[in-house]
Amino acid sequence: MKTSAALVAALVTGVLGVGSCGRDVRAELTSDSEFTFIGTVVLPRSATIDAEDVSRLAIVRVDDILYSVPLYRDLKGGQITVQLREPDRVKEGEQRVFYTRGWHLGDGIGVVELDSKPAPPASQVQTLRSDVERSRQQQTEAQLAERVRTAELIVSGRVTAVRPSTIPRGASEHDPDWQEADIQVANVIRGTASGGTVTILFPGTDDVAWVGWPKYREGMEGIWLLRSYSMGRERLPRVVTMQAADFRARSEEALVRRLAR
Amino acid sequence: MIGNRIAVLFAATCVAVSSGTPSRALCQGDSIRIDRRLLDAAVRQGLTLRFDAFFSWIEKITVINMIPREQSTETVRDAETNLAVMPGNTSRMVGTAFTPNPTGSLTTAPVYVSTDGGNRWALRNIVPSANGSTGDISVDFATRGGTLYTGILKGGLGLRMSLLRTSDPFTGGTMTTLTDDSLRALDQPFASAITTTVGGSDVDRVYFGFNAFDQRSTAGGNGRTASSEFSLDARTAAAPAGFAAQVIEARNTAQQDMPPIRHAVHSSGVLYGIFYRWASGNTPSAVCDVIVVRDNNFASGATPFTSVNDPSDAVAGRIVVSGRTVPAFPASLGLNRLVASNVAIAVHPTNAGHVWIAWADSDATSFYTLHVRRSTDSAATWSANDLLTIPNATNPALAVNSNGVVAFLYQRLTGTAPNRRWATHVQRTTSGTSWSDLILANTPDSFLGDYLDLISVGRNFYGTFPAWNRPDMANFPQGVKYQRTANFTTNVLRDTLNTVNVNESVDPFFFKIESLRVFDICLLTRLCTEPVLEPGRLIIPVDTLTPVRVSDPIPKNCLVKWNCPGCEGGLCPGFYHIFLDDIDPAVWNVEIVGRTGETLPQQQQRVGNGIVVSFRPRRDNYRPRDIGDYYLTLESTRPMPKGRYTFGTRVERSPYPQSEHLRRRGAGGNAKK
Repeated sequence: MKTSAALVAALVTGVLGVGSCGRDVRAELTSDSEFTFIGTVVLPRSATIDAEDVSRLAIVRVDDILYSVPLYRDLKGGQITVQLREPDRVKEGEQRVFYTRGWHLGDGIGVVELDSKPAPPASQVQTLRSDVERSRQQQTEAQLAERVRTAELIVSGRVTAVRPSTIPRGASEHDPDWQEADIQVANVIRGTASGGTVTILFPGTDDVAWVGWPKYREGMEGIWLLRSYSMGRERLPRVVTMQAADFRARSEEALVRRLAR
Repeated sequence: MIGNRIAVLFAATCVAVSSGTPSRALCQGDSIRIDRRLLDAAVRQGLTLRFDAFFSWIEKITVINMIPREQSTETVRDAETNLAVMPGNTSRMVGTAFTPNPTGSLTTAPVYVSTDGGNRWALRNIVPSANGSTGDISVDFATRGGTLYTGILKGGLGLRMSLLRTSDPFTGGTMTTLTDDSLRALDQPFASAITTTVGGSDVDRVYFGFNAFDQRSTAGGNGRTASSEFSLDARTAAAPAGFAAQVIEARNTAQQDMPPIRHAVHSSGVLYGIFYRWASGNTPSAVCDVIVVRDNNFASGATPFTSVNDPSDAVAGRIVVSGRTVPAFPASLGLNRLVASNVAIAVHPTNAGHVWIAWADSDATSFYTLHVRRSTDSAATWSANDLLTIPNATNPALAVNSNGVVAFLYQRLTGTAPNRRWATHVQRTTSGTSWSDLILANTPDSFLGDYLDLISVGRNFYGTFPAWNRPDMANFPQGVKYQRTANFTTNVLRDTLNTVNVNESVDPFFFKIESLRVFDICLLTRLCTEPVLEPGRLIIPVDTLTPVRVSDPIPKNCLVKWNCPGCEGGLCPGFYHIFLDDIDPAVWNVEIVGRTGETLPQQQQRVGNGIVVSFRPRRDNYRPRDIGDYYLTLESTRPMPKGRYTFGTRVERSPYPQSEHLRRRGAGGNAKK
């Protein structure tokens, strides 16, 4: 069966919420969703997990998975508990597209609904799947754009030396044990890097307070999205990378340059 | 009434055993005669009962690996554990560890929740985060009302401390942020909460000990960093809910106080705090004093934490010991770092003047030694010598139960590299001079983190500790249950579907030490009453004035008393709602327990002139015809006069838990049967 482009657009607008301004109004929730699936409401006001107050809960069968973090990839055909955003709009037996986020894990699985819409006809599921995927890609790029936008200095290059910093260590189990990394700059994408070398700080500790902060070794190459950082009121003398997303592969330089404009 | 109940229950816990023959108990209250063979048979059945020769009683010990089955592939370092048990409903608990959000999300981090007394744990992503994990995290329930208070260093943001609150960690969403110190560098928030009555209303007093790292002298501060952030009425007010910080160090320091500041709060209003004052020297051999501060009225006055001075300088804060070298920054014991984070304090729940402390230092005994001491005069004076000294040990925690039994939890390093091991001990005493030692785990050397947790509710002790997770029964002398998939024959961890091996790592473990419950007593003794079987009625014949206990197998009920519905429709297995008419819950404690007497998630409320108790059978213990191997237990809260106690009873099944079932029943007349 063929469907006209106009009909597809109308369905996508209805299901996914693509607005006429060109931006997916559902994009944010779609990309925030850790588990997007088509599900049948088996039983409102009940739960597969232990919960006393079920007024916002429903048991939902997972019919088809449109996007999932690895944790939920095997859930097709199973029943999970959904904490509903608007319990009254969900009816028993109804099939909906659920955009959800992880909530409960153990003796069953529970997710929190970010939003849901009536499920499209089967013929439109593949289109919806593509839209979800595209929306996620757009959001990933938007998140990178935000890191790029807020970075003070962006350079590409190579780590030529790593050494302990001279910042005094404090008596805290979370002392970062600051290390310095010299980056031989290949290109400056934003800001200035005089002398062709930038020295940055990174935590040498494996303490939990600094999980996710990138660590560097001599010879590493990439793009650094750098920013100032303060510990309380103490501003560090050099810039840092705070997230894995702040250290990019060299192959992304064109993308980062475009986003940095 | 309460005293009578405790006496009765305590008697039930004081079960004397002599090898092979019945004997009399030597402890308080009435004794119960049991046959050792019954105890051995119960243990063979899988009951974790243990005769403690020191106390001459039988107790129930449970050790659980808290990682859920669905997380069987995880290999992260889930260390530095903490625990909160809801005092009014000890089946409800919240645990914490360095566990990341299992979905990979960066915006929230999980806590562990249990609604069945710690037998099973699930992860709930309800802690705000910037990297999907937490830094430090500590939790505590207020005494009443069910509000959980949490202190964190917000994941991914270094030393950014936040204080959080949730009225319901079991069904609610992300916790409410009460404070978020984005402009400060603060360390190790540690929660203590209590409920008291003011003007006839409950108010939650909540105290977070923390270290104001940004006030160390090397950062331009005055070096007095031991602090408390507290609220005198934290339950419902909008952020910051009355929370304000107070420095509790009254002396100058070499640079700062060390990271841990711990509180113990008594219902009378007496509030203690303990910390290490860095007095002189440099790391890794800083010289410290151990200081205890006190406030007599919940820190509600103009000069909080100044109720006890040291006689040497008349300054607030009693110096228990001084001039102690505390190895840290850097230092290690086995594979665990030492970060001067090892102080503990506990107050006797019925005597605010009796307070116990523990700390670690380097002494002639060992490089890192734990010390336990006691004050019986509200911290004014202290036992001159250690009541207990443990060499090569870390992670101390103390608790005192309602009977005055003191428990001391710690982890001791044994052996030599590369075969070093951590032995997790609980030692208990009533006198302080002699102790009963119980080893919960003996696991390979690993990172552990900087604290663990031990608390008491009533007569029971509950705790958490981190340990290497190799599934080997030899590593857990009191037994252990894993939720995650594990093969104890081949000693390997497996993935959720049991298809591939999973690497070993550090996991959080929960334990509890309980006195015997009705199910256990009925299994071990003849002191229980056999109910009369009649359709639709539960009849308990009582021949003489006595406390009454009943352990009634549910399959037997399904044969005679009830028409037990099967599994048709909706949810399988569904919820079973057991109605008992004409029963007074003030006189009868009613509970449904599993095949080894374990607590189950269940709901109970008054309906008309009786009660309804609801539960959902586990899939692995469900039989449509007779529900499964469960027991309905009843215990009178006082001796019952001679007579026949008759309660009408029936069972209903529905796909809904109790509140919804009753709502529909009320609205529609009859629920699905």
